[in-house]
Amino acid sequence: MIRVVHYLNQFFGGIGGEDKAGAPLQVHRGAVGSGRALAALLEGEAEIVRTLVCGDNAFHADPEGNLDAALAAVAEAGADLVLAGPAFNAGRYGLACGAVGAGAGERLGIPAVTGLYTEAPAVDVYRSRVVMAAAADSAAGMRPALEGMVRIGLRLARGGGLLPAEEDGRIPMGYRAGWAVRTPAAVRALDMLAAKLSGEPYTSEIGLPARAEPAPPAPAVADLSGAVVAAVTEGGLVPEGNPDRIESSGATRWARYPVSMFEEGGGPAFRSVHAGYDTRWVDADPNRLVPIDALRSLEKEGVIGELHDHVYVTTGTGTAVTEAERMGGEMARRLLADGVQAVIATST
Amino acid sequence: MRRPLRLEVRSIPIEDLRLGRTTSVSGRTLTVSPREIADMVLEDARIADVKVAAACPGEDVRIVHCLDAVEPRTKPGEGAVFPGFLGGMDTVGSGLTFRMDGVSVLVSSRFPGPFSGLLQAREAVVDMSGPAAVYSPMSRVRNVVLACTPNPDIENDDYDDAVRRAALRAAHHIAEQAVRSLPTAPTATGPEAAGSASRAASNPSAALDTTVFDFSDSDPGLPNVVYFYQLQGQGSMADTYLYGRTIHNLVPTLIHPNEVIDGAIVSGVHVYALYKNPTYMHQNNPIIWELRARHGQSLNFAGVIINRGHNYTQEDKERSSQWAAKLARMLDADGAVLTAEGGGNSAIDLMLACRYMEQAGIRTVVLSGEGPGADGYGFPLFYTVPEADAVVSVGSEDEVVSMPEAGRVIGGGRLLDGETPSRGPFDLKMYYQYCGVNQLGGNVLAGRAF
Amino acid sequence: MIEKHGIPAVLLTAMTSMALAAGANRIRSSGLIPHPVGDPDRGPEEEAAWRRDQVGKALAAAAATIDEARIFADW
Repeated sequence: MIRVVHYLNQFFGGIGGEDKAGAPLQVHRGAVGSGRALAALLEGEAEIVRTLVCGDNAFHADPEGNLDAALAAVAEAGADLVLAGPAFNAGRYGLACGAVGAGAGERLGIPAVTGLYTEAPAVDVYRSRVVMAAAADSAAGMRPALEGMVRIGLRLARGGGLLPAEEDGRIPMGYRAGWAVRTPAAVRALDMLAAKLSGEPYTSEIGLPARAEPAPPAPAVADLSGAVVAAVTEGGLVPEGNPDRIESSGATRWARYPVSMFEEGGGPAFRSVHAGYDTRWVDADPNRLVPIDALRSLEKEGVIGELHDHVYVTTGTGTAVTEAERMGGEMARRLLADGVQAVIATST
Repeated sequence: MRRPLRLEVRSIPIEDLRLGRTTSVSGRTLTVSPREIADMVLEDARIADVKVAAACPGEDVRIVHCLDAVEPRTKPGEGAVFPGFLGGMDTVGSGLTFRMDGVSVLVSSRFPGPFSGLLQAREAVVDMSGPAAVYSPMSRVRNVVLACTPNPDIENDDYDDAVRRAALRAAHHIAEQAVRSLPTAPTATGPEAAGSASRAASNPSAALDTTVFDFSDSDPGLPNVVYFYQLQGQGSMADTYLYGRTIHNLVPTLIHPNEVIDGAIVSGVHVYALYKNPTYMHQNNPIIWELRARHGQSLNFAGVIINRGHNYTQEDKERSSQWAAKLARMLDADGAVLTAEGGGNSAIDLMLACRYMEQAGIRTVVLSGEGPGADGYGFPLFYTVPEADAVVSVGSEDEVVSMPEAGRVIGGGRLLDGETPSRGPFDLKMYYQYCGVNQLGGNVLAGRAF
Repeated sequence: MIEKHGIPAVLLTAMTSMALAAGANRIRSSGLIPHPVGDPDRGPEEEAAWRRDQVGKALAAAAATIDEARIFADW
């Protein structure tokens, strides 16, 4: 029998309304309040061994302390599954359910499911950290919400995985993954086209990107002839042997190499490990990717003040945007620290 | 007299594949003679050795180093299959073609020389059963595998040509022999004497399903839909062939859908396995088959525009995509379905075509693989345009597949990394799953929000 | 990210539309995808002179004040 701990607020836990929102965390054996309906749904499959009830204000008066106490009770109960709520569109209650659910998963490794309305405040906060069965915006939708939580929760407690959010009746957690589907892509495509042509609604399987906040342009270099200029590339140019193990694609690492390594013979040859373009021309002459020779002659001519003594390198293919932003930020801080005033970047 | 292209494709359904002494069909069982195939393949001195094996769905077998898959086809008594390779230029797309339904000739090999850089033959794996079988459409057909060994003295490109021709010839031979072995039946015009192989072959066996490809009639009340079919023509190891020639300098042009179905397009793409469109997928292009099914019902199939992806400069991409959109307008298109081969760079050509079609008032749907990152939280498309508001996902390139230990391996004891034993178990990136993210919609996977 | 930190960064690339979509601010069309600052069809000296010219023009973009992302073109 799967052991379930259920989390409720003062209202659904049967203590009272808003006037009891200060009620401190209580631990009950067995099902309490709206948990009785849940227990009926779990009949024969799982058993509610504890119910935690906490007032909405009380929880948030000391969120860390209450979370610690709640998780201690979950651990003590030997729970296989935590079910929290459903909290529908409630603000404080939803956030408490999110906190308890995330804590159970992250700290105790116990699967947890809550039930929330898609626009509830807790959704944005806990979307990626707690499994959320889609619920109506009020307790009128109690039964389908509980059914969703039970369906998903029992599967997780038995070691099963998530289905795509739509099939699971869940609020999407924000990540995508591959899934075997029944309707062939050609059929889906032509159905979508038919809808589009006839003006009926259709849903793209991949939405348009939320427009990234554009970086405001940096101010212009005031005096190029006195400026330190650095070369940066995403073209994967590394010394033979790739000592920093920069990935051929999906990079998570970047490195910088002394310009002298490019200019002086005798050292390791530079080659590109980039998996996204034909590298033979760059391998034959790395200046075709990182224009060291051109920058050096511009330095000699006095067009720029100085060529910075390191070249910055990563691989820009199949690189996750979050990784690219992190690496870009790290590079930028290093360049700033080294007094670089302008960058010549190349991309393949 | 006007003679529009009309193609009848007759399917010989095969549910079992065996190796035997002669190549023939009996009921729904295809028997293939390894001796016949090997003798034929080894006529080409560029191939040092070949092992012919059968790999059927549900068998505990893994195929590695997959290069191309070809559906056996023959056009009895009337011209070339795979023109430009088997025989000279001969416009296909009309008459009668037999196909072996549920069978592929799958060629597997290493190359004789080393590679460097992007354009190299990369690992491509198919599991015929187990948890990884879902990742390749070729795990759902009966494969006659030609596991070839190169003559070490020849260049990679030359060897590529050799294995491609070997697969095409074997595919043609199998279909030819199979059709010869079909029981004869009376034709509509009268009884036919048995004994003449060619006459028996041209005689439709009564039980066979026939699919007619004829788009000569259109209904003015239905929307005109074109298919924008972007092919990979990136260079050595990443080329697609049109009537035997590469498409490097192709401006977008028109091709009749029947020509595609009838073998005009042959694959030579050996780079990342997940995005490959093998010859089998061109012959059975799911978009064209689906457009055929809907032609005259809910739409008019108004034409196919082929385009070379992976153009090197923005200017070339603009020229190509605007040209394609113009062709769609010349075809009086109301809507378009767009597909591509390969990821990254080629997505730009694809999306620009979408943009210019939409700007011309042509409503589009784009099929695309996606890459939301290892954790799945990234934006899934490499490149997109605001006009691409109807995208069908054909799977995620960022999966890692747990490959169990295989009972039997065809193609080589180690993966192309030279280290990993092919038998497994190992974790393998989606990149190396043969047609794992097939952008013609040949696979059953889709990227989904979790 | 480099521009975000206040350093003007000019991106030389054959894929200007991609660069714009990726959020680069100063973009110059240059070369081909596999060699953005190379032109193997030229002789070595001519190629070096061409590259110096490309980089010189890119530097001018670093010295230009802009309000929003822009592709710096020759024409």
